[in-house]
Amino acid sequence: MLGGCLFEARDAEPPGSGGQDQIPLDDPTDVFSALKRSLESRLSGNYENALSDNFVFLPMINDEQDPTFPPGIFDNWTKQIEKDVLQQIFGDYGTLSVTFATSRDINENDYVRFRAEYDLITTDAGSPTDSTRYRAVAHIDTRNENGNWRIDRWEDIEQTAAPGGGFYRSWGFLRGAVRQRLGG
Amino acid sequence: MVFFSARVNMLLRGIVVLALAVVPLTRPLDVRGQQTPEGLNVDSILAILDTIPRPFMTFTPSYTARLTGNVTSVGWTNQFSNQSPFGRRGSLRIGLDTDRKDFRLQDRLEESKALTSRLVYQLGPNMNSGLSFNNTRQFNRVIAAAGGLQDFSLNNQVANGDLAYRTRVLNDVRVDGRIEGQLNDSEQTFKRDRSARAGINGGAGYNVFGRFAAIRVRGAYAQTTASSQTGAGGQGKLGGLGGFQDSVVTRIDVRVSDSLTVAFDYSDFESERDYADQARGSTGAQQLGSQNVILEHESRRTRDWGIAMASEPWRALRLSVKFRESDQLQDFDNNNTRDSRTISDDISADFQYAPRSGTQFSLRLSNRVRTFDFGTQSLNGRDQFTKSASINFRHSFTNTLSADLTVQNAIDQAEYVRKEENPRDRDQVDTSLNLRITSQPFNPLSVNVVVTSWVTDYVNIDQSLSSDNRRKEKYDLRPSFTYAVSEHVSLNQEYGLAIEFTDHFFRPEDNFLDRNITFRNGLKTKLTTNTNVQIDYNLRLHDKGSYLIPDGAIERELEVQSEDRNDRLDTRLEYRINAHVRAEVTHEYNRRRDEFVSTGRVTYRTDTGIEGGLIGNYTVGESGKFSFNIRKVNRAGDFVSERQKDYWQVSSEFRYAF
Repeated sequence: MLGGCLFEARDAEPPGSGGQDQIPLDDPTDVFSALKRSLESRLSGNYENALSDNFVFLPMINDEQDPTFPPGIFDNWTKQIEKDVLQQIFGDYGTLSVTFATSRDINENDYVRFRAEYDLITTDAGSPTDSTRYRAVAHIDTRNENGNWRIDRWEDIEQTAAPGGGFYRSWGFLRGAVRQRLGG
Repeated sequence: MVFFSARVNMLLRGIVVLALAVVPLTRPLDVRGQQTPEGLNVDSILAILDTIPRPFMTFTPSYTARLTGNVTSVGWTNQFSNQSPFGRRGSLRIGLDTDRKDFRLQDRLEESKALTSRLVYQLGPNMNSGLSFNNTRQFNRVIAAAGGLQDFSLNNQVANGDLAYRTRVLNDVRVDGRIEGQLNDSEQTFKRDRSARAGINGGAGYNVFGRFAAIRVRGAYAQTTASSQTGAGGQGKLGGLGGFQDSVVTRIDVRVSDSLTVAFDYSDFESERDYADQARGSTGAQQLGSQNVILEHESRRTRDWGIAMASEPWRALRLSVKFRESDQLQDFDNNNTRDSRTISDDISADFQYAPRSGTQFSLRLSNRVRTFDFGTQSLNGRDQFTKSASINFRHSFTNTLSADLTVQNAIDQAEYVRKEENPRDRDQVDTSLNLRITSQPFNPLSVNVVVTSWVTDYVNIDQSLSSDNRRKEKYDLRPSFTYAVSEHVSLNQEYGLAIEFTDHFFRPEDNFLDRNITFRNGLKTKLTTNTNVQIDYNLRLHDKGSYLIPDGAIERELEVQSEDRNDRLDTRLEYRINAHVRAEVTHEYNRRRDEFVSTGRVTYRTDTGIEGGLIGNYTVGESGKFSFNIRKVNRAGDFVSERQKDYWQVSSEFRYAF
């Protein structure tokens, strides 16, 4: 009814093949399927649908204190910032894959806090043989919003050790680096 | 216009307040020797004050303790501070803070301690000095699932000295300057950074012909030298780090006439720094250890300028136009995939017309163009165009009936430079309508009706992504009523209907519909002078499924794939025991039924919980306060974890200023 009041989108080309179905968010664990589907297809629909409008991201203290970042780079992390960062990641990387190993720390009728160890692998769009892993443990809070489960809080809490010493960078570090490139 | 004149008034007020605050304590040249009718001047007032005997230092400490505990963590905070005069023209503040949080659901603790101190001393009429020392310690321990310890500690010591000068020349010119030196010693889990920083900044403000124009200029420069050491024994040590920061900011405000003002501002920031970074392995893991320390060089430059005009040709009409351009550049020597340059141009115009009290019409138009350049290695360089228009109309029909309508339309378009290799051109068009009607048809009854509609089009241009193109259309109707039956009883009812369509432009077989009906009934009663009861019942009915035209039909029909119903009852009983303490019991019952129509599977989940406890507020002496909230929580439900079933929720705070 309201579509195209003043501004109109450009005409799109008819699709080739592929596409992504919208993942129904009937169960709290469905949010992980939605993130995975979205990242692997590099289409934002399912990712955006899995985030609450009240979404916040909180980094680990290691990432917050990293000398790479200017102070405040993780402040006021909203859904809009997450969407901007996601679009940038889609443009930067040729392929993306992610897995989540989850357990439930808090389990209520309308709220579930997952302890999730994620493993995000990115392959550079410019040089497809150059892949990078982002691994860490996060608390991911999901809430039932009008019948659909959505993520309203993501807090990175624990680093994951890498073979041969050291730790993997976290997804939070990637988020901070991308936001910095976008001009804060 | 109002905003601008408020700024001018604020500036003038600020000058007056500053003058009132500074003049009694200082001896500016232009007031020296001037006699008041009573025969006193600033010098003599100061001389009188200096003769009043008083101790060199007095102590006015204050203390705050805070305890919090819930299902996830237990925390304990202590804050102590003391503010003392230091001699006749100084003051000393010392603060000691400790904070510890132990997490119950995982093996994790966070601890922080801070010592802060600052001495401020007035050296002369226009000159102040300051010395400060801060020591902060943060400790974060996680015991990983495999049993390994993960500690992060950050100990930071900062010593700072500064000297500030402020004066006024020829009444209309204000000049100030500040010199600062800082020593920093920062120790993290795997490394230690030390730095010394010296900075100078200064500014001048000139009021031309009184209120006709104001010109302000401010510049700052700081140089840092630093070293970083990773690992013990001096290996992995990098010296000669640091760099500089340089900035200038100017602003000119001109009042062209009583109804027209123009403001111009410009800022330029530039910095270079060398810092120690950890190399990353082939899979991206941060490689710890001194042998993996690399030297990174970062350059940043930001330029920003803007012009704003505001006009009020008639009392009821306000117009404003703003333009801003900014250019941000970041450049790295090693990790140059992080290079970026962002240029942004924003222009906006506002029109506001308020012909009479209670009626206002406003229109806002804006246009933003951003260019993202991420270097030659990146395929992500793009231009982004954002336009928006918004109309708001507010009107009070009578004293008891008013309406507020907002309509917005915006478009965001991304055009990629290397679209052959990265065909991610996309548009997003957002349109929304929000109407709120507020009415009070008769005294105990008030009515609110909110109607909202959003439409968002997601359009990917290239054929490789366009299968995802879709329109989301959402309609939301929320009437609510509040009826005060008597002084002791009030009823509140809210109804909600929300319908969301998802229509795919190229894959209509995936079209989707999501529907919600909600109802809330709230009752508040005051049973006795000290007893209140509140009961809330919430119902939500939700279903969703495909929304297609069945064979042989003309119109689309919803084929429900899943539906759920949620009933929730919250009851709260409050009893005021005395002026300071009240008892509170809350009970929650939450039942959910999910049905997956295609498989016929039906699940039920029930959660219940009861909380009971005491809430108190006491005043201790003249300036102390003690408050607490302690309650026992019991929860039961199909999926409630063991630790959630029985726990204490505690918060208390004790605050005392001696």
